[in-house]
Order: sequence, then structure tokens, then C-alpha cells
Amino acid sequence: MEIILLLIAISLVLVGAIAWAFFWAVDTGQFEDLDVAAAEILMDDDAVDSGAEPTRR
Amino acid sequence: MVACFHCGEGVPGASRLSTEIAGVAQPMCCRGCQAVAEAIVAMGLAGYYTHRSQNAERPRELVPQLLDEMSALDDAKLQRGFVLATDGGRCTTSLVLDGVTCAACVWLIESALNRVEGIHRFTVNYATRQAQVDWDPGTTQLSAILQVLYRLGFEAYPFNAAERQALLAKESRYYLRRLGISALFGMQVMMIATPFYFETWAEVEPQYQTLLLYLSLLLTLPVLTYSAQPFWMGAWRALRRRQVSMDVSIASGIALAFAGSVAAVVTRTGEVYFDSVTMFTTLLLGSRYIELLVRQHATSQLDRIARILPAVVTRLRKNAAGTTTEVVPLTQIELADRVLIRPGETIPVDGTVRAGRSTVNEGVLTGESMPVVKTVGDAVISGSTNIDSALELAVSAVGEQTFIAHVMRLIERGQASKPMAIRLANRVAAWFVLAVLSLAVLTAVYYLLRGSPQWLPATVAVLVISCPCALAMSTPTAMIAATATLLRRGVALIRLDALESLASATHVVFDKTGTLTTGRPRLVRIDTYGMPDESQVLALAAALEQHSEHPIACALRAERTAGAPQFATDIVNTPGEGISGVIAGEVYYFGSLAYLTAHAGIPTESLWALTDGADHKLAALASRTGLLAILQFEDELRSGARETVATLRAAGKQIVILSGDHERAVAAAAAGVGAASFVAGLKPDGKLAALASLQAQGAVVAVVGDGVNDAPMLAQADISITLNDAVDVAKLHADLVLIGAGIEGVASALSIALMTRRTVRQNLGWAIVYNVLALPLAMSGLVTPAVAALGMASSSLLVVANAARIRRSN
Repeated sequence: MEIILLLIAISLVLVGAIAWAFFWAVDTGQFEDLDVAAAEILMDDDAVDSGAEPTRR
Repeated sequence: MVACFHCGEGVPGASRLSTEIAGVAQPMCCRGCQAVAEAIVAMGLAGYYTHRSQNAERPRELVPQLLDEMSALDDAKLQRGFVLATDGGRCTTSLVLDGVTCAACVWLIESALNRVEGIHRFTVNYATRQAQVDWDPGTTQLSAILQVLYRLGFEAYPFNAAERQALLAKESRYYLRRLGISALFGMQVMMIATPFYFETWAEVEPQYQTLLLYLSLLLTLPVLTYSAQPFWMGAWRALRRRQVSMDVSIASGIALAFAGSVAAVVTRTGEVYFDSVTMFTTLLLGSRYIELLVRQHATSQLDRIARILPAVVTRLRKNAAGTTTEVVPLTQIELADRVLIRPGETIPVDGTVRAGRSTVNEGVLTGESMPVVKTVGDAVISGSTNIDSALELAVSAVGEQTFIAHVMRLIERGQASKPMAIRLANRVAAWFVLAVLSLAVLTAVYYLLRGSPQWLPATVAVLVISCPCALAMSTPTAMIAATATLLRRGVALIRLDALESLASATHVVFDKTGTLTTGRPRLVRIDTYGMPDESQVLALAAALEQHSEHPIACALRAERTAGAPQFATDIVNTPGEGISGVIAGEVYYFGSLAYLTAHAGIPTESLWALTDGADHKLAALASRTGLLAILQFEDELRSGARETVATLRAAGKQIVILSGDHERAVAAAAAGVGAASFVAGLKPDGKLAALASLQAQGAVVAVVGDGVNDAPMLAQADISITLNDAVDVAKLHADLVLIGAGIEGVASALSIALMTRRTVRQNLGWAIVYNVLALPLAMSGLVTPAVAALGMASSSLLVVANAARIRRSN
């Protein structure tokens, strides 16, 4: 049964990490627009014509 | 036919326009599309065409007036209304976007705008079609940003909602964070509680039992202190006002279950209910969050309406060199300035005509369906539209003194006295909570008096099994379903509790001009005199009026006949009276009876003898030889108006028409739709008074209107409905906007309102029956808190399922 101590410790660390990640996601507005993200991956800057100067935000 | 590569519309046969995209010349239907496509390619964003799933909208041409309006938005005085200054001297504002058809548009806009110098950040929300822009006013101007959007084929308007927007975003994050934490920790607590569920707890060694109990206590703490915050605060607010609310019952349930469990852990006697605490909190937060999302959706509908239209005006400056004109923002206009109003423009100020003669449409302000003549010395009011020719005005009132501002103050008065609908659920819930709390106390006292250790589980079971979940969710879930269904039928629900008022409305008040009628005259009769063919009359009249924007001219154009079109030359327009011109060598006159007497020399008496004296909606055609025809016009009823009124009457609503138009016109419309009572000739305050007297007699009144003159009445109504082509100020005070539906939307809104009310009542009924059955079981100690929580959850599920039935209605 001693293994439970380790398991509890791991689960607590995981809970902390997930909570932190969740807060980060909420604060950066990840939940505010759920429609564009799905399409965005298809249209990265690769789609920009090679002739155009490379620009970044 | 070849389809335009940009917008997908057909390319006219003669068009040879094309744009080279990714090495292939693609056909374009118009210069507008071509310009946009070229701009997209030039920015290196041709990838948009590969990834889009919808065609673009056909862009509007960028005319000088639009450019003027855009540059007016740079005015610092105007910007104070909608631009927020942020750190580092930057500015931020929200924009409503038109023309966003698919996710690729969002990519296109963001990619293009984020490389404009001076824009710090430009983000687009696809769901709401809104954008947030953060820019450096020292480097670029708002108008420049709008122009870039324009070149890409999108129209954007700032709107005054930055603060409310921020508030809503904050609220939704507040609930989302708490919901996430509660679900996350709840899962951990439940995992630890698993041995309890399967009766294997006794097999766990005692030292691990202690460890697990303390661990679940620890894991419940964040849920209790952080996630359950809204319930603690709600309960505290209610108690401070000496009231009970659902939050009070929720908070006491959570508090008691937690306190009892802590006692059980410490003394190692009795059971723990940490899993019930976390599950309970998670479910409740979930239903609150969903309700919030619905409210947010309704608000974003409102923001589309509250867009700020840049007001510019052409100011005349007289100096030694003559008269110069300049386009300035309305905010810079002062009393006694001279302004020039071109035909087709909306008059932005109150003023007096100093030069020119024209007809002006005051329909949205007064309800009068025909334009009125304005000549030197006449007063014009802001918000009316100039029709025939240019007018020079001396400004007599600006800002707070204008007629519009006066109406705005009436609106405030109406709103202050607006009856608030009390939700049935809230009324029931208050009593319910009180009853449950007393029963819980009674249970606890009973078991304690008998010295039974059963008191804690029994009391917690009472509080949890009766959890007002089903009660709390009965209304919001039905509302969500109703909102979605309404939107699908083209009705936007702006104020959520409006549906309940609509279901219980006793009277429906309609405005006439623009609401029951289209506000545009329609030709109803032609009497010919010495001219055998009606289509010939129409062809002649249409030829004379071909360049006119007068409502009569529009009505004639709608009557296109099969005959060959005629062309008129030497046209002389006398605004407000009539028009003359030469067709095939012959002079013709078309206008009011008085005009024919004055210009064509036809004696008045002979004309009046032919009509019943209703000069208002008549126009006559004559040549040098004499009268040819008399045309009769009528304000056309909207299609579906009659059916809508019939449906409402069948549902037991009283129909009243309150209009600013003439008695005769209102009577005709009332007869046309089958309404029993009407009042004509009312000014905005008169309408407000008529409505107030109805309400004083105990009537619950729904108002359907579209004009500025209806706005005060809309603000005061129990429920207000406007059409999509209504003026902005009317929409701002509407509970329901018929965005995609015609006037029939009123009837479908009513049927959904009735169904929603029925569903809410069924849900409430179920919640009560469930509680009446479950409470005695809980009080008798037969139900453990875990089973109670399960009962509560399934009861809530039933409520959600029942509400979903609204969506399936047709």
C-alpha cells in the first residue's frame, strides 16, 4: 500500500499543473473563440506567397 | 455564366475584368471585387482563396462620402465616446465587422492588419464578428485602419461597448475559472471516495483511511473557498437584505455538509460528504456558466445594433472669395452655422431653411408617410431625410437641444417607469427555499431531540435532495433553447426575460408607418381621362420621374410595365408639387392637383369634382390638351401584416394601432389588417401617454414599432419589438429585433414564448412534485446524501431534456 503515497504525490503535482495550465488558457482567451482555432492551423504563414517579404507579428 | 472568383456572383457578359491570383488570371465581376482581390494578392495573402470555405461578400464602392465619414472618426471629441486610452499612449476600441463569411476571412484580416505600421494588436472574434484593435495614435489613425479593412472588402464600425465588453469577458472568466477548478478537484475527491461507493472502505488499512480522509478534506478546500465563492457572496447579499434566495439554500447545504464531514474526519465517527459538496458545486456552476453564455450572446446581438455611425456634415463658409464648403464632424458644428444638405442625405441637426426648396421625409420621426415640402423659413428636424434637391440650413439646435435629444429624454422617462417582469421561477424559488430551510431545521431538531447521530446525514440529505437545481435550471435551460430557436427563425432576443412578458401580454400596440406598412406608397388605382391605356400613363409618368427619389417615383418604378420605356427631356422639378418634361415632342405635367392647376391650366373645380378630396395620396398626369389620368397611392401593408394580426387576435391579444399619420391613412391600415382600435395623429409624447394609460388599466403591453417617434413607447413597453430596418434608436430599446423575419416574426415569437412558458411551468411542476416525494424520504433518514445527490442530478437532467423539446418545435 506504500505505493499510494507516491501516487498521491504524483496526482497532486498533476492537479497543480493542470490547474495552472487551465488558468493560463482562460486568461489568454483560449475559450473565447472556439471556431477559428480549428481552421487556423491550415492557414499558417506558409500560405503567404514566397515573393512577399517575410513578416512576423 | 462565369462566376466572379472573388464574390461568386455572375460576371456580366461584357466584363473583361480579371486579377492574376497564384499565376492564373481569374474573372472578376466588378471593379470593387477586382480592387479587393488585387489588394489581397499585393499583400501576399492569396492563400486566403485556397482556404476559404465561403465566397466573399461583394464589396461596396469606396465613395468620397464614406471616406469623409471615416475621417470624421478621427475627431478627438467623437472618439471620447468609444476609444479607451491604454498604457504607453496607445488607444483601443472594438469594431463590428461586416463581410466576415468564414474562418479564412479572420486569418486574412489578422494577417493583413497586424503588419500595418502603428497597429499593436488586431484580433478578430469569429463567433461575434467583432474585432479588438490596439493602435498607436501617433503612427496611424483609426480612419486609416478602417480603410485598410475596406480595401480587403470588409466594412467596420466602432461601437460604444468597450467597457461592457470587458465586464462581460471578466464575468465569464470568473465563472469559467471556478467551474474548471471545481470539476478538477471534484474528480480527485470522487476518486478517493470510490471505496465508499463499492463498500470496500473497511478493507483499507486504518492509517491510510485517515490519510485519504484528510486528503479529500484538503482537496475540497479549493472548491469550498474558491469555486463556491459566488454562492457565498450571493447568500450573504440576500441575508443582508433580510431575504432568502436560492444561494442561501445552496450555501447552507454546502456549509453543513462540509462542516459535518470535517467533524466526522476529526472524530472518526460518521460519514463524509466531500464528494457531494464538490459535485453539487460543479453542477451549479455549470448551469450558471451556460446562462451567462446565453446572456453574452444576446448582448453581442445588441452591439451589432449600437454601432456608431460617424456623423459628418457639409459646412458652408462665406468669405471674401465666395462660398467654400468643407466636410466636418458633427461635433464641430455650432449654432447659426450654415450647412448644406444634399438630396438623399439624413439631416443631422435641427435648423431653418435659408435657401433652396425640397421635400423632406419625416416619417421615422413623426410617422407621417408622405414627405413634406420645406422652403425658405421652414424648420427641419434632425433625423429626417432630404429627398429632392439641396437645402441650405441655418443650424438652430445642436446636441442636447435637438428634437432627437428630446426624444432621447422621453426614452429615459419611459425606461424609468418600465414595469419589471418578475420571473415565476424566482417567486416560487423564494418560498421554496424558505420551506426547505425550515424543513432542514425541523429535521435536525427532531433527530437531535431523540439523541440520534442520524441528524447530520438526514439534514444534509434534505438540503441536497431538494437542491434547487431543477428549479434554478428550469428557466435558463428553457431560455437557451428558446433563444436558439428564435434566432433560427430570424428573431433576436435581446432581453432574456422578455419572452415571459410576451406570453402574458394582453395588448399588442402597433405603429403604422414602417411597421404595419412598408412606409412606401404603392399605386392602387389609375383613372384615365381621354387616354385609353393605363400602361401608357405609367410609361409617361415613369419617364418624368425617372431621376427622382420621391416615394411616388419609387412606387412608379415598382410598377414596370411591358410597354417600351419612354424618355423625357427638359425635366423641370418643382419640389413637393410636381414635375414636367418633354416626351416625344409633347409637354407633360405630373404632380398634385394644385400643381396641374398652376402649370397646366386645368381649373381646380373640375379636378376636385373627379376626386373625393383626398389630395394627400393623389397624383395626376396632364398634357397641354388637358387631364390624362389620376393615380391613387396608398401606404402599402407589409406582407404578412394581416396574418400576423389575425394570429395575435386568435391568441387573445387586443390589437391597438398608435400612429402619427393622418386619421384617414391610419383608418385604412386598421381596416386592412383587421385591428379594432386605433389612434391617429400622435406625437412621441402622445404615444407614450396612450401607452401609459393602457398600462394604468392593468394591461401588459407589447409594442411593435420602428421609428424614432416609437422609441419612447418602446422603452416604456412591457415588451418591445422592432423590425430590422428600424432606426437605431428604436432598436436600442427593443427586447426583440426581427432581424431575419418580417412582421410575421411577432407571431412566431409569441408561439415560442407560449411554449417556453409552458415548458418552464412543466419544469417547475416537476421540481415541486419531485421534492414533495423526495423530502419525506430524506427527512426519514432513508436516503444517504450520495443517493440524494444522484436524485438531484437526474431531476436536473429531466429538466434539461424537457427544455430541449423547444428546439424541435416548428
